[in-house]
Amino acid sequence: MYWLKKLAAMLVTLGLVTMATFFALYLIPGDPAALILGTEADPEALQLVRAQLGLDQPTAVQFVAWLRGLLRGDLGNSITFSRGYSVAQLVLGALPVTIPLALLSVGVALLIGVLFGTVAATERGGKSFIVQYLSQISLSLPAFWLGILLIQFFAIRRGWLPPSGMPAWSTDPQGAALSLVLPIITLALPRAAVLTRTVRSALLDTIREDYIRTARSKGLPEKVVVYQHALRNALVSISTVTGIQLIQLLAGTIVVEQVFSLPGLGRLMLSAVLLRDLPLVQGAVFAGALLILLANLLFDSLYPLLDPRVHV
Amino acid sequence: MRRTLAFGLILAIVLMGGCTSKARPNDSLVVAIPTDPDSFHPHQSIAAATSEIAFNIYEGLVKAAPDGSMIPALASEWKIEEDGLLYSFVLREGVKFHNGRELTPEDVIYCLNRLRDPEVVAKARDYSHIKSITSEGNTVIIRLDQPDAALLAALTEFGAAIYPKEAEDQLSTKPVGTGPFVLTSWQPNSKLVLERFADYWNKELPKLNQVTLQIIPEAATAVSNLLTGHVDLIPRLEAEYLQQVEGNAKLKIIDSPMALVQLLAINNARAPFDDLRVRQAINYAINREQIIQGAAWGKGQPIGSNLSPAMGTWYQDLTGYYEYDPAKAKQLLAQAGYPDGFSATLYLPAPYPLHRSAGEICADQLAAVGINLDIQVIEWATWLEKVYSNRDFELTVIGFDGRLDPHTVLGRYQSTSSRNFANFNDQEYDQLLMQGLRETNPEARKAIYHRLQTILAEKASNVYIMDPSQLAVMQKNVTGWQNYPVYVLDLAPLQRAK
Repeated sequence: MYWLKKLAAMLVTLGLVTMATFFALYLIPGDPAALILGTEADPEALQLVRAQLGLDQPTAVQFVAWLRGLLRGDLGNSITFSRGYSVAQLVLGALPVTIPLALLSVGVALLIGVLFGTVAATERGGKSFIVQYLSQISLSLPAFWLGILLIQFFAIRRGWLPPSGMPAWSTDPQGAALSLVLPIITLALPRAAVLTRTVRSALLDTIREDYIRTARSKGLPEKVVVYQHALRNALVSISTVTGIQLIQLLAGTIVVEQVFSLPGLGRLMLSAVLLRDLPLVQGAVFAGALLILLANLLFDSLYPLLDPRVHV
Repeated sequence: MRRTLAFGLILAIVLMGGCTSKARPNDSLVVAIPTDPDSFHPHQSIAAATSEIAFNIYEGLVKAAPDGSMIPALASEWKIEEDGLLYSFVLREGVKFHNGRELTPEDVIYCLNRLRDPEVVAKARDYSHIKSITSEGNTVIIRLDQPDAALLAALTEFGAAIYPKEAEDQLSTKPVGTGPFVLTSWQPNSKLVLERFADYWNKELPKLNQVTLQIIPEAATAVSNLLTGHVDLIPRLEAEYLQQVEGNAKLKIIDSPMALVQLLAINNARAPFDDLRVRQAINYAINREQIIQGAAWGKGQPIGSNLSPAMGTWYQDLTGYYEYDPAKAKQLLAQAGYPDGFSATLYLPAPYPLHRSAGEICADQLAAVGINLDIQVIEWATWLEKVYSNRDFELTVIGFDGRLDPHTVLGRYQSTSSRNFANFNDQEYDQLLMQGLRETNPEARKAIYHRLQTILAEKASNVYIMDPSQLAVMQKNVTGWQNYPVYVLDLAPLQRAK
């Protein structure tokens, strides 16, 4: 029953998101046909291109046609960005970039967050201060600037990593992995800062609880107290925040994929919006929404594992 | 804790140690381009970014040469009858398409007939004077209903490329042409790979076996790739990045005219700009040298009308027509009834840093004579709709790409032209323009286009600013770079010295 409700809510959200995107694109100025023809456009050519792209139909008719296609599993073809490719092909091609990028970034952010957050919560004085100071800095770093800085240092000065782009996993898996290192750092640092703070405050809350005092008075070593008792119980709130971070991070991929020229979903979405490629925006947003909903579902299903008191 | 951190660091360094710079074979090259092509179907594609790549994949009957002349491609020779109404093209023997089939006159007839059909192709306008296309043996004969001096140049464009009919439905993503390179893979937002076409009719070309076009939208990232050797060539570097590559011993920069006309466009139909004196005042108030220094880092040539110096003998030097003279500008404004100047809006297109910086400097210079501009940077889609299609603007800065024939460039200012977004309106101009298209004598034709450029200057139609330089930056060992007065990227003669 619980899962059925979840699934229904997911479908409703997806429906609303796609509808909102579709109509939002009609509200912002910019005619795809005019974009195609640029400064050489004339009215006859505009009319011809509009007709060829099916843009001469009323908006509602276009939306229904799009929905029909969706039910058949057909997302249509892109119309201004590399015309002739199917939207499904473009979106599926972008997922092997964005999914590992997002998951690994959140993983790295979580790792840093737990390590540093624990330090900040348990140590006093200098160390704790440095950690909090660092997290403040990395929280305020603009992603594109950090990205360019990392490229400058690790790619140009040191030559350890490629400055941009990403080969296909199938042809050059090592190269693909290496080219994700800098983007992951760029994406993970601000998220790690948020998680450091979350871990710290969650730990500080739990450390004041009675059972921690009990554990300490039993004579357990401090490490066991912190990692096995306190952290374990702080996990619920940490995982909630991690879920939110993952979603924000998916939005952050738009900037990072642009800076590092990664052929991912964020960059695809940006190209599509700039070129007013309606079917492609629709398809990319649909895929993005689906990813976010799945991420939510994943984190929701983690709660019962983390806290036996939560039942579904 | 300390141990974990140290371990993490070591692991990271070991992973990174996998060193990234891979040596490429000598017969291949990596070129950075900013965007994906729109479509490789010659009749569908409009984007200049596509035609510059397609130049290497497809060919038409004739093609552009670096000096702006027209040279044989699929036609080995051609003849134009004296009345300008009949063109005959002799097809080159033994030309093969990338699919292995030999080129026939029927392919030429099919492609050009489809191209000139306004019901199917948006670009049909440039070929509207063609009456019929037939063949006799190996010769293709094109008949016109009136002389069209711009036709030969139009036949060099990507739209007039010849492809095999049987490939019609696949061309947008899998082009089939007769050019020196074959497109073997295209991963959108990532890269395109071109490989040498072994059966190319010119056995000397191409020099390289493989060219990878890496799509890198951010100029800063493209420069990083060039500095690290991941990219061999950036064909069009934005001038603001020049200082990052200048003086680098491993790189060379070739700068040549872009054949782009950058202008401060004035809406001639809107008050107070409908007053000639106001437009002249604006022309006197603009200091081109300062814009070239400030917006293009000194890399550009000043212009005085809507034609680039790269157009050879068609070009008329009018740069001295309005010498920078703010006092005269103020005087003209006072005569027009604006002794204290006025305010107006300047729209600048967001994706073009060169036009944005030029616009900001223009605003500064105009403020000095009392014209205060409210600068609004707008997205490209909005610019096209608001400024270009609806002509709902006062001032804007934009650039027009070069074409081989002056008619195509100057035709924009015909009062009835739908491309005439500056609303220029002059009877003498309209008449001369039509005369220029029908004139078959080259000398007489040249005189007409010189006069047309002069009218645009006399009437202070816009402020023509500069032809910016195209900055091609490449690794020192790359040779064979060719610059064209049109938007193409000629990969065939490129090679890498050992």
